[in-house]
Amino acid sequence: MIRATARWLASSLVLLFAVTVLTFLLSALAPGDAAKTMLSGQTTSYTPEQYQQLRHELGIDEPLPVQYWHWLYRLLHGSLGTDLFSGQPITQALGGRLAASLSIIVGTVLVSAVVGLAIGVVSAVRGGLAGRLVNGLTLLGLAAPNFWLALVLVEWLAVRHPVFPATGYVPVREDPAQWLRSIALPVITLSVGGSAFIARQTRDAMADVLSRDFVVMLRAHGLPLRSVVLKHALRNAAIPVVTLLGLMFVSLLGGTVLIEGIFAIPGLGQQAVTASSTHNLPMIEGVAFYFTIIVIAVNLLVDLSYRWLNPTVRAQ
Amino acid sequence: MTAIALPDAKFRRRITRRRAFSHYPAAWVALLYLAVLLAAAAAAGVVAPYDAEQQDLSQALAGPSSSHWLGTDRLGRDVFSRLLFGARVTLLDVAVATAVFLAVGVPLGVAAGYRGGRLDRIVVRFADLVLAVPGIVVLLMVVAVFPGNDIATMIALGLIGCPGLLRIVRGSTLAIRDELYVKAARLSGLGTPAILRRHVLPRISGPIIVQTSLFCATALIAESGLSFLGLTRPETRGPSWGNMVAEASNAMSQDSWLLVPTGGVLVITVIAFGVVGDAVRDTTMGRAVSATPLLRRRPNQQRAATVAPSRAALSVQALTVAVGGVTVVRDVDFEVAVGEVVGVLGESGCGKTITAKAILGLLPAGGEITAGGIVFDGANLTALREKELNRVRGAGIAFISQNPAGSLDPTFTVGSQLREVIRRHHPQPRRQADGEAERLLRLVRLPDPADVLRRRPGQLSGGMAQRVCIAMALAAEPKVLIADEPTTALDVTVQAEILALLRDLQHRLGMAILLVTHDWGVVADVCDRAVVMYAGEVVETATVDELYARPRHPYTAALLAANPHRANTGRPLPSISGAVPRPGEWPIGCHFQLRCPLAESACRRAPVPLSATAPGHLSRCIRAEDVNA
Amino acid sequence: MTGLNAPPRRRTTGIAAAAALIMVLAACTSRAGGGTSQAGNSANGQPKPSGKVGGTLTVAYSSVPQTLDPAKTVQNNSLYQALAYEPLIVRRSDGSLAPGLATSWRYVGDDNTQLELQLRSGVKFADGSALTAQDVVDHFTYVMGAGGQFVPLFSGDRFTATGPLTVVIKTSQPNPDLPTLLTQDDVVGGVISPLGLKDKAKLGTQTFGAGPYQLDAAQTVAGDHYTFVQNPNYYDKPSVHWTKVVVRAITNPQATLNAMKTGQVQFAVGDASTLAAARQAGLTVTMTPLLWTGVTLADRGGTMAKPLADIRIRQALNYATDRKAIATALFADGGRPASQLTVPGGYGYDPALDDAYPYDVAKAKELLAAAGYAGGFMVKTVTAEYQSMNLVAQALAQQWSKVGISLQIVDRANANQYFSEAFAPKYPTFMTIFGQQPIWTEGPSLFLPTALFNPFHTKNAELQSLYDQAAKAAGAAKDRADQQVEAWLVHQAWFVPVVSTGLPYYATKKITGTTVSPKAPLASIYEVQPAE
Repeated sequence: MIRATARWLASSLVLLFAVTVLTFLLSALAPGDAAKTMLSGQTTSYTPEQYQQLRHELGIDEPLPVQYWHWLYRLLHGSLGTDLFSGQPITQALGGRLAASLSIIVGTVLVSAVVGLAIGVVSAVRGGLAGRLVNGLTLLGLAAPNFWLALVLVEWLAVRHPVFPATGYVPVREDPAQWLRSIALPVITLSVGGSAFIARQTRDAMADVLSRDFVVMLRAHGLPLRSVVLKHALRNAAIPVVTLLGLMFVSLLGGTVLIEGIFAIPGLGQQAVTASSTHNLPMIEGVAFYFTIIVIAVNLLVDLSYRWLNPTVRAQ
Repeated sequence: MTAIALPDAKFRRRITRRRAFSHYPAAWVALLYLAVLLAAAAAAGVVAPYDAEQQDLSQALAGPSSSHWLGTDRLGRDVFSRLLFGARVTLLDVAVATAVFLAVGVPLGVAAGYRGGRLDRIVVRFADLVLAVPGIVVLLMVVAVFPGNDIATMIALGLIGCPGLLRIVRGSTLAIRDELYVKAARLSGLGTPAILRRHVLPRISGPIIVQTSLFCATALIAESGLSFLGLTRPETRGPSWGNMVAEASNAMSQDSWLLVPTGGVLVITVIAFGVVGDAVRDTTMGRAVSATPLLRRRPNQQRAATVAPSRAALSVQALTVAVGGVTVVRDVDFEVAVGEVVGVLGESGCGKTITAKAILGLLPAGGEITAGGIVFDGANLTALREKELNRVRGAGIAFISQNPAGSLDPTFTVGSQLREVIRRHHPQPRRQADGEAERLLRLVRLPDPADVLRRRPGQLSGGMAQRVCIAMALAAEPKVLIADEPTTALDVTVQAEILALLRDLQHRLGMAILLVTHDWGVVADVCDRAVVMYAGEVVETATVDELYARPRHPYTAALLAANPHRANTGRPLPSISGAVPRPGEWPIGCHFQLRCPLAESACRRAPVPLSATAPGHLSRCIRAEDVNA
Repeated sequence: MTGLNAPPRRRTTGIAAAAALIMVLAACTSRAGGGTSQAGNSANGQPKPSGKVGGTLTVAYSSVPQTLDPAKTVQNNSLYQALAYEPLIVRRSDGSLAPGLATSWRYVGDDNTQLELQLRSGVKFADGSALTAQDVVDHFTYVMGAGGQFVPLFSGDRFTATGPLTVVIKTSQPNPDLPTLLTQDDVVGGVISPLGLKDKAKLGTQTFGAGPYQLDAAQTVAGDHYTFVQNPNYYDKPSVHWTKVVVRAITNPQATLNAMKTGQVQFAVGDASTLAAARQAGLTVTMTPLLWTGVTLADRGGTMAKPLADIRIRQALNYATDRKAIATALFADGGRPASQLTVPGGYGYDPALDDAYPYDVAKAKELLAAAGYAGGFMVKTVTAEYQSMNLVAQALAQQWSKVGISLQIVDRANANQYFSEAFAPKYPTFMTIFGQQPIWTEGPSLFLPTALFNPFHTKNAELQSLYDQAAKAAGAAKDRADQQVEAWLVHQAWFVPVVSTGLPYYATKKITGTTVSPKAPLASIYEVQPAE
């Protein structure tokens, strides 16, 4: 147990290190920097001295390893630095956004899991025409570009028929009912593709499990179909599906960028795009850091679910 | 475990109907579409009615018309033409990403899976790391470093996506490396490159194609997403599907038509990739097109009339079973009297297991009873609806298989499953069921029932697992127990114990047992009567003593002669030449005719019926008299 | 303020940069007559004000401020600043100037080099500190030292407090329009409180002004929505129309439109791509021409592109441009053809100049042949990823190819890269979006030898003298002088203006006060109030 925890901790730290270093490196390679962004946006012309001066003030004239060390040092003291442009502490700037993005992502994963599992199970059990229909429909669900879906859904479910709000995010602290309404459309949009993906994987996993001996044997003992499928087969099939849910979660981190723009939701995705285009290095690092923490947490959850579903299975 | 898996695997292969790719019309359509698309894109200069940049400002945002099949964009440029030219760019992008995906994923995966050891560990660690890195952050940074350069972005995409392929390739390579024939090839001196080329790569090509088609679809969607964000090639450098969709969504409130052709072509192409991938997967991995139909077809009411009532515990009458349209068991007739132990004897592939499974309606996908009936407790099981049949299972007729550990759900404890079965047949509170479970485990002579209940199937030895299965089978006090090769997977000492246990239980509970086996010793040990099957038919039925003393079918005789336990030392062991005819290849007339020393022309002409050679002794041979012991 | 349909990401960087292009000084003083044409002023039927104080006004704006520090922000984000920072002088929606923190102002002497302002007495900032003349001086000292976008507006100016409530600004050059630089449109007219100046780090995320509202940091999520609540210390409480103003940063134009249609937002800065749909949805649309889009033929000396040195070639390019087709196809209601560097009703506008270059391919070819380029030539231009700039460039390329000129477009996704390459200069021409402004300020930014938009530093004595005259003139003579500068630029074809656009404002029927006019093309947030 101790060893497993130690190993997990070690690999998580390695991951964090790798991601943040990689981000630093790529940032450095990108042409331009925050000073240039600031100056070009503000003055009509600036002298090289002004430029160097600003670089010095922002602390970006130091060699990369030194900058990284400063960042790391601050991190160990609980701070992610401050926004180069506004001076706002990064943790403050990203805190609310994290909640917004997570609301949508978690909502999508949950809905996709429930809907996808249901469709996948039904299609695996029924087989034949239903199976093929599901195959086709899910392919459609996967193929539809999600920003197109978003635009269509907004038009029909928010503008023409005001079922949900067209834009904006309400934090759950403020008003839980409105919070649900504000994330409904983004979640539905992303869940179309998500459910399709999970449905297909579930169907495959279920078909696999249903052909295993113990399924036949449990039925031979007279257990009802519902119990064999939903209690036994599904639990076994869920193991690979849980891994996929974890992967989906991680890929949604990026996938929300488009959706956040269309629904004007203040999420991490939007912030990532803005920060990278303005060379706001502390912000970029902050976003990368948060993303990686989320990935680590999700992987942990997946691992734990694995063990709960089947304690004898040791993750490879 | 591998040894006894063989018969089942054989059936499984038959069942999963690995059809040729030609059986998937949708895939052909998809391939055709992709081919046409590629050709049209390559020849865009010739095929497109307009130049990609040809503007006509007076025709801006026009809908489809005879001069512009798919309408025009904001600068009056022809959408159809731009889609063709754009296809070049987009497909090239996808090709770049896919090339990187394959070039990195396949070699590394094969190397890791084949070499194993440290290389494997390093590669897997690295792949896990890349998988965990949030791709969007990397992509955004790459875009910042190489703005407007979609080749760079696509390379990054390929690198981000390849760990998935790497793991799958590694897994497959690992499995193949451990297969016997590869080991043999290595031992015989075949070099690694040759092995990889001849054995590994062809086998993993299936999964690779599947993953690649999925990745192509993903890359296509990713390109459009990045374009929507304005992170890829700008429009002034020429059209791509991605920037056309982006433009269409910007012009959405002025003209919603534009989204249709630009988005539509994306969707269709993604679907095409997906369909091809599905078809390849179904072809190479033998996935059943129709998954296991757990829901039985409607029973044939007609058959209810065709059975004769019987006082036996179980009466199988003229049972014919087909799998995938091919008859595998024909005209099987036998009875199990109350309290009797009947053995069904035969070699692999003779249809004994299918017969056993058919009785309880547990046929695999594609299997169905095409004729005959099964009488139990006054009812014809083949005419029952699923729900009614389910009530018979466990309570009336129970079943244990040759794969005891695999018969239990690995994710639940023994106790949990046993309780579930108990409470299914005799609803009772959990505490009581626990007690009952312990009683059953003691019945099957497990020394520490409480401990066993807490264990999971993976923590049981073969013998223990089989005892647990027997306990579960007995939970509802069935009248008949069907045991399908119950000891084949166990070693000899445990074998004897289990058989003794079965015998003992049978005495105590007065249960009838139908014992399916290929082992004469087991039959001699435990059975009262035996049914010999060959190539889907019952060829002889008699009491065990009669069968041993006076076999009345050439096959039975030959088997007995070939039994090592009865061999004469010093003399070569007689064996039966030839091979068992497979279902679908059965000759007309006697199935044994090609290997029978007594075969004559009459045997080949017409199917031979079962006839009694002595009271209680049936044989399907016209020359039964000529068979000597 | 570009009124451009830029895809979401680019907006946030680009706008900041674009604002460097566009220094729009809206008002003209009562002395500068300007055109009387009301063309482009579409204040179609504003609802009547209800006279009551409204609840929450939600505004949608596509630009996200990188910082709330007035000295470091960009003019594009003046909306955020105006709410909390009361300017010295308020610009009304009809273009006139009204007292703000300064109750009166006058030029001392008659060479327009010294402006004296009288401050309002008894004004308290939101944080309770009192307004004094020294505060104003300290404020400007900070602004000039911060190196932001507004520094060039006041370069060389000296600020002194000559009394407890009197401020004198001495300019190094005659500046007839100094008061207009002190309005809410140029941000730094909004004075920062002394407490704010003490703790400058906070200026990025909080407000320290004397305006009708103040930022409520607790209800604000940077980059998404900014909540302004009433300033209890405001000196003119009756004029405050709302209990709360929330400014939402929505970068996607479609999302903005959707938010308005569903009533989430009552007032928004719109976009050319959603203009027609907004009208269809029954929203009040107000807009006035504000910017021109076209090509700056920077290399008039012919150092990089020899042909451009010849005026006939430059004029040929103007003749080869079908402005009407581009305006109709790409902008529909949102733009009109532009042949001059100003807009109807704007500074130096002369209706006659609208016909200076009718679309005439034959004439263009003739001129090219006369200049010795009958076979055409190739010229490069650089553009940024703004939809309208981009699209206009592509349309031009097509049109110019008909007379044999190959316009090669270099597309820079990164707006900063576009700017640095345009102004380096790396190419002989560059696509341009520019705001209309008084000739006096246009010179140093657009066409004088030191102007940013004149990277080849082309000099011309005639132009210089015309400009000097305009700088010194006043009244009707000033208008004529402005027109002369304009005419010179048009006839010399230093630019190829193509289309003029405006910034559309959308409003629901629940609010009013969103008028704009040629002299005040930016809506004044102070006047937006509930309708009946």
